[in-house]
Order: sequence, then structure tokens, then C-alpha cells
Amino acid sequence: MSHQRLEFSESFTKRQLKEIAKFSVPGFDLNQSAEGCPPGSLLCTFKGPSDSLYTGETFTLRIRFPTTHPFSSPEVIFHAPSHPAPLHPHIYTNGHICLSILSSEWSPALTIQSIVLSIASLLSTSPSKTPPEGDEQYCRRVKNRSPLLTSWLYDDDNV
Amino acid sequence: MSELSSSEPPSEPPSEPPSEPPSETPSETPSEPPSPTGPFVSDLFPFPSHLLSTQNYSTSTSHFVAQLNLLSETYSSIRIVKGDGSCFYRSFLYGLITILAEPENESERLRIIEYVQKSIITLEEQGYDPLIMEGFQEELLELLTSTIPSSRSGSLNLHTTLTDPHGPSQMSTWYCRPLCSSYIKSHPETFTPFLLSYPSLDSYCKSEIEPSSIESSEISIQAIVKAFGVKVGVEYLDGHDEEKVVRHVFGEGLEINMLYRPGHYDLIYKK
Repeated sequence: MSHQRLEFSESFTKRQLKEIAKFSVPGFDLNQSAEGCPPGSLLCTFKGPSDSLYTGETFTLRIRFPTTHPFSSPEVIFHAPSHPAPLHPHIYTNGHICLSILSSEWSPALTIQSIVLSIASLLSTSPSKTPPEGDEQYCRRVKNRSPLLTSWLYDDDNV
Repeated sequence: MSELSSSEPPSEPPSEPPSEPPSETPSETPSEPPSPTGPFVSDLFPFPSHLLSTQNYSTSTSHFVAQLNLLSETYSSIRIVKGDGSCFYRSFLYGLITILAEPENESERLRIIEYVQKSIITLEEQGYDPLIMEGFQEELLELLTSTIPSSRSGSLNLHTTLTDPHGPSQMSTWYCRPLCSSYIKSHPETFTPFLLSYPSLDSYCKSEIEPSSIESSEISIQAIVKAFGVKVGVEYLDGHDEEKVVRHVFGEGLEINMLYRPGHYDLIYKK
């Protein structure tokens, strides 16, 4: 799967402009130019939700769009060069996030805003600051590969 | 939060990038769903000879052949629809748009254009972002309004538009899903009794209707025919009985016919 969007389709550009213009989540800062990323990539910086285990920390998400967007999910990871990924049972230390809407339950109705809100909600409901089981092996195995290439299993509805 | 269901560590890495999950239910039948890389909708082929020559029906599955022969009394042609999880919605949209292009169906075309124009309001009431939905709605409206009533000579052009991977059909096909969801959510008295195992109608729609790799179900078919005010007839090629083919009719109005091979829908046309 290529993340290099060689050519912007008109509807992709139109939709992205609308999404960026409408993006409004207090405390979330969305930037269009993600250095070293293909055009159309975004960085979103935000503070750990108040009343959560991450209060006071700052995180950055990197969002990249495959050519098949909106019919497949964007690639969303915690962008380590900016800030380390949060320690969370469903977030790998390489920044990969295990969240159903980013793979099997992706729907073209989902927006950048709904994605970042879902991720913030993952942090709000986190029971502990521990990495996922098998984190080390996973990170070693996938190296810099896109999380879109991982088959995720969703069997924990508690977080 | 079910919507945020998260996971245990990922399974073994696939050697290939994950293709969409197999959209079609595996079955014991010899019917192979069409390749997910084929055209959205094929040219018109003679029925049932096209299936008999492309499917490997052996003597052990002769009920399929018997059923195809029974169907050949009514139907004479077939269009094979891409097997990528959207075959029902794609068949529905292709069938609908081409029927509406017939001059005698002009009043229905205008009625459906009006329905699609107003759909954004209903979707917004059901919690969808109208700015995002507009992008899909516009493409469906483009298909419906560019469908100038034509004689059969114009149908080639329409086929090209409807099967163009960069054309309006991909967005329009997906838009059928939120239309279906919003019909379900605005008729809870009809649908809730069938969906009690889901936390809410909303969560059912989010996980079982809106993702583009998820196949249709009887629920979504019931909803879509009502939403558009049309009729879909489905002939079940299930190989169960050599003396009859079960036909299910959904909704009322202009008629679209489909052949269901376990896990897959194609369009079929009467003689």
C-alpha cells in the first residue's frame, strides 16, 4: 500500500480543505505541513486530557492519507520525533495505535476530528500507563512499517 | 466504549499488505465470487451460459445447474459485479441509475433526485457531518442528473460512467450506506426488534453498514429499498433444491433483479 499520494484527486483536496477549516477541538493544534511527509499529511499536537493519567504531557499525531482515502483509513501514529508516544495498553512504543476505527471499522464518514477525539478518549479511559503486551517484539518486528499493514485483533472492550 | 474497542497485541504480521477482509462468506458452493480487481460492473453476458462456462459446476453440484436452467426461463442476461464487499450496493446503484435513465421512468428519476437532495438534512439529524456527506451526495446527484432519459443508444455512455474507477460511482455507491443507516435510525420501531444484540442502532450502523468492506444484510436491503422507494428481487442460487429457486422480493416500485450466489450479488435481467 502506498502512502505516496502522487496525485490529489479533486474530491480528496476538497474534502481535506473542508475538514481542516472545520477542525475545532480546544487544545488540539492541527498543522498541514508535516516535514518529510507526502503532501496532504498532517500533524496534530495536543495535551494529555485533564483528569487522565496523561495530564501535563504533550503528544503529536502524524496523519497520512493513502491514495484510497476516504475508502480506507488514514495512517495515524504518535509521531515520536516530536514527542514520545503515551504509555498505554493499546499504544505501542513505536507510536502504532490499536484502534478499530483505524482498520476494520474505518468508515468514510469518519473525519480527522472524529479520529483525534477517539484517540483522546483512549487516553482518558486508560487504566494504567503500561505498554501493550508484546510491545518489544511487535516494535522489533514491524520496524518502520505502516500500522496499516498490521492485522489487528480487537477483543478488549474495556478501554 | 464499544466504538473504541481496542485490542490485544496484533497477530502475526501478514506477509502481504492486508487486503480487505474477505467480503464474501465462504461457502461450500463452487461459485467463485468475481475477483475484487475486476471492473465494478461487467458488460452484459448471456445468462446462464456465461456462468455455466465460467463456474466450475460439477455433477456433484448439479442442483446449481438445475436452478440456473429454471432461472433461464425468466432471465436472459447477467452483469457480473465486483466482489469487494460492496457488490449489493454497487448492483443496486447500477440497476437503479440505468432504470431511471429510461424515458418512461422520468417521474421516478425526479422523485429520487429530490430524495437525494433532501437526504443531507436527514443525515445531519442522524448525526452525520453534512460537510463530509455533501461530497458523496454531490457525486450521486451528478449521476442522477446527468442521466438524461435516453434510448438504449445512450446506455453505453452511462455504463462507462458507472464503471469508471475515477468517476462518481465509487463515492455514490458508498453514499447508499449512510442513506441506509439513516433510514434504519429514523425507523427504530421497525428495526430495533431485529437488532437487540447490538448496543444501539447507531452502533449497528457504524460497524455493520458504513465500513465499505462490509457486505449487505437483509436488514440493510430492507432499509435501502424503503429509503429509495424501489423494489429489489433476489433469486437465491443456493443449490438446495433442484426443482425450485427461492425468490425474495424487497420493497415496491421500479424493479431491480439480482442473482445471489452464497456471499455475492450480481445483476440479472429478464427476457
